[in-house]
Amino acid sequence: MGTADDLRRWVEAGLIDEDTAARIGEHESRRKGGERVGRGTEAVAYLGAVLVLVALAILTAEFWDRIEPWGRFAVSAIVTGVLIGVGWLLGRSTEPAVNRAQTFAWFLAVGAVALTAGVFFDGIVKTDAQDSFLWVSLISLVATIALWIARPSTLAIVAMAFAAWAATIAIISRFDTVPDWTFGLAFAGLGTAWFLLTWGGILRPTTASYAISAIGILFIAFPEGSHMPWPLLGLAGALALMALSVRLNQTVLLGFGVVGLFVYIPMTIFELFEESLGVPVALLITGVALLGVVVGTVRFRKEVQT
Amino acid sequence: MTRQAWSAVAGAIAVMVAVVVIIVVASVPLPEFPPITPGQFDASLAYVAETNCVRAVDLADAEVRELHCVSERDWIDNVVWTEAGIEVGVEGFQSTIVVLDPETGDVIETRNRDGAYPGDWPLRDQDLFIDIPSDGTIVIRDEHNQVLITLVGPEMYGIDTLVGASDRQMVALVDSSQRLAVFDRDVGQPYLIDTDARPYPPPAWKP
Repeated sequence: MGTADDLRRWVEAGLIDEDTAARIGEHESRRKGGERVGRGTEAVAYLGAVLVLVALAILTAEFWDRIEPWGRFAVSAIVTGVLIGVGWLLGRSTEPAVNRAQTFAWFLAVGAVALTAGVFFDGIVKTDAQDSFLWVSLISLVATIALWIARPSTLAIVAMAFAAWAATIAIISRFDTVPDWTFGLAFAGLGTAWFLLTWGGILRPTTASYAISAIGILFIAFPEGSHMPWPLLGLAGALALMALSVRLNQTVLLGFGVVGLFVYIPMTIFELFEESLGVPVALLITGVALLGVVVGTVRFRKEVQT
Repeated sequence: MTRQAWSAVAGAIAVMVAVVVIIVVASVPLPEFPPITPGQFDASLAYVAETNCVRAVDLADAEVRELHCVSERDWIDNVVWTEAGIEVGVEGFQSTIVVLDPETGDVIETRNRDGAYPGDWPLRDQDLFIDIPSDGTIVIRDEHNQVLITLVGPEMYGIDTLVGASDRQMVALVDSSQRLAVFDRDVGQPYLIDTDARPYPPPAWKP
């Protein structure tokens, strides 16, 4: 049984996470002389690929407006097919750098899928902008889920998160009858569900997935700004992330919790005390509270690490 | 799947269901505009629909007519109803002013735009004011600060366009849900014309 099989069994048993397994895999591959492409070569290859893509995008933009919608649809569908095909071919290699290229090609394919869907609904079916956005985001979400199932990398789960956020915005935007704060609530709900699925071992890589869930949870107060009680809910979310970081030994949750405190403590203090105590006192309380956060973070970090 | 995974899935579903229930409960209905009935008002209005088409409605018979559409590569940036017909400014692939027959939609004249706007943007300054108090209502007032209508809707609801007729009696509005409605300043109840109207360019009343 090879290293890859061992690593897969250990990930499935919950002994190590995907990130660690990938790092061990790469290390073993290098040790055995399996990796033939150096990091420098890989970086230059990506730079070249990006330059080629930018040049193609500029060339396409020159005539994009002058071709009929079905022509645009055909061009974007072909690009999608090529990127998926390239990714599929690259995935058959045992070389880690080539496998990373597969993830990159499929990540670009998600963008191409979104473009194809956009051209289809906007140019051919002629749905209105809101409907087009909804369909494009839902189709992109399905594409990113497929990408993530095929290769659960950090790039794949980040793409899935962006598609899920876009779909959330598209769905809520369709309802003219809901207040602004529902966007924050939906993002926080999605973040909480994402967190639970990560904790349950379903969503991975773990670190990236926890980071995505934390962003969603901390977003709760953004649509309403400093209006009460939203900063308090943001504060509660940040504190919960810090507590969970200790429970789950996840430094990434601690990091996002601290960022949340830095955002929501000043917001809460200014909202509660600016009028009664004045700006200088509110600043003083904020400063002391943030110093407390820094000291507390150092203690928390030690606890997370132990 | 492990027991922890099943618990996670159940928890995630419960959270999302709770969010959906809260959003549904929190939703506030749009202000209700009853449909216009024939004979209720005597005025005519031209406007642009989301389909990139110019439409006209004769309020006397409450009938909406689609007069003229432009290609998706163009956009209509101005509509003015003049004695000559409905003058439509088209930008994009072409840059023209098209004059339409208000009854049939036939193109009476097409002229090069040369940067000009059709008509004079008459009656755009109507001395109509929109107040949005902090309680979420929308109040439309006239130049004497008299309340014409009060609309109660959800937080994101708004009036995007408000255009008074030259008789200073009728007013057309397009709300944030693309609903075109008209009201008499003395009555204060908006009546629905269309659910697919663009706020810009603003609708144009027949002089």
